Amino acid sequence: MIKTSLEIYNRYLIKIMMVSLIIVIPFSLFIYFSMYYMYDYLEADQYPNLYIFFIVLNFICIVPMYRKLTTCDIDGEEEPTVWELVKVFFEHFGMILLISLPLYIIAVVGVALAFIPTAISGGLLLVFPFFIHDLNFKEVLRQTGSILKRENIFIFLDLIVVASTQILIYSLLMQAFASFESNIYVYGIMRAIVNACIFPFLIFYLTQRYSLEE
Amino acid sequence: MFNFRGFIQTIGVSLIITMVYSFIIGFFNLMSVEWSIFTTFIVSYGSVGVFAPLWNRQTPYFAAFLSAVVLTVLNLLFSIIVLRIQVLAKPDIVNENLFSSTTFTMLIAFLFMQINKRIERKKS
Repeated sequence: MIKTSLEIYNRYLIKIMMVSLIIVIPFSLFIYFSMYYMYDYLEADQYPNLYIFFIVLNFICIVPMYRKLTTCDIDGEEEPTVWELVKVFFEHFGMILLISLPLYIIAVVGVALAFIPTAISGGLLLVFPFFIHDLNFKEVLRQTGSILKRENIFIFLDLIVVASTQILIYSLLMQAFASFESNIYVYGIMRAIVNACIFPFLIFYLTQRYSLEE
Repeated sequence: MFNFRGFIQTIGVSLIITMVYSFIIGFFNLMSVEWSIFTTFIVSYGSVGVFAPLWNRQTPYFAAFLSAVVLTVLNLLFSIIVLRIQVLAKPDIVNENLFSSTTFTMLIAFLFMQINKRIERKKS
């Protein structure tokens, strides 16, 4: 599966770069700067959970675009144009916000219960964007549940892979900037570029894992 | 039939447009505070008025009304929970807020429907 995702990455490199320039990099920059703004201006009461929710959204919102690219490639359909991919992002933004907000609130509240609700809703948060394209709302939930039943414990392995690759590559790249006098903009732009490079690969891999292997 | 997915899409796209617009306005410091609030209001609820009839062909006005109410309530909740402004302490402001946003959205939706009808008539 890793080999196939590398091939897809290679084949659509120009398209991925265009989509990154139009959507992924501005979106990541916006989320990073809004986190910084909130951290700076809300002095009285901080919301650390809100910042983590922003980071989660940053990954989740980008999933439907690259999922469409992957399925079009593997099913042998006509390859989508950049404009179609951008439109997919705008169409599914509201639905993703609607589903992920309650799930995230459950995850935050469930920390008191020995992290069990947190783990379950973390798995749901990772899986549901891959089925958001389905027009029927009930079908989205059903397919998410079936994947959760099939993969059960290995979902958490995927979750760890997604989180740790980002942290690893980000910290490795930060070593290069450690000796300079860097400011907030350098870190933000670095973060956005790392997102643009890694997310397509992760999403190609996860799409093949979830939606195509029946 | 009321199309739930179109309704959610409307709110999402309107949120994105509001974010982008207010980010640009704030980043380049283009206008004074009053004007930036006013134009943000026009952009966000105007986009709701345009997109709600577009994705809810059968119940355009109800969709526009409901989207405007939901967006206003979201604004109020955000200002209460995150910014700690006690909005609900003054009922007049809430009333004015709901009234102005729904009226403006319905107006834009009505205009959009009229223009759309005329274009379709010209095509046929």
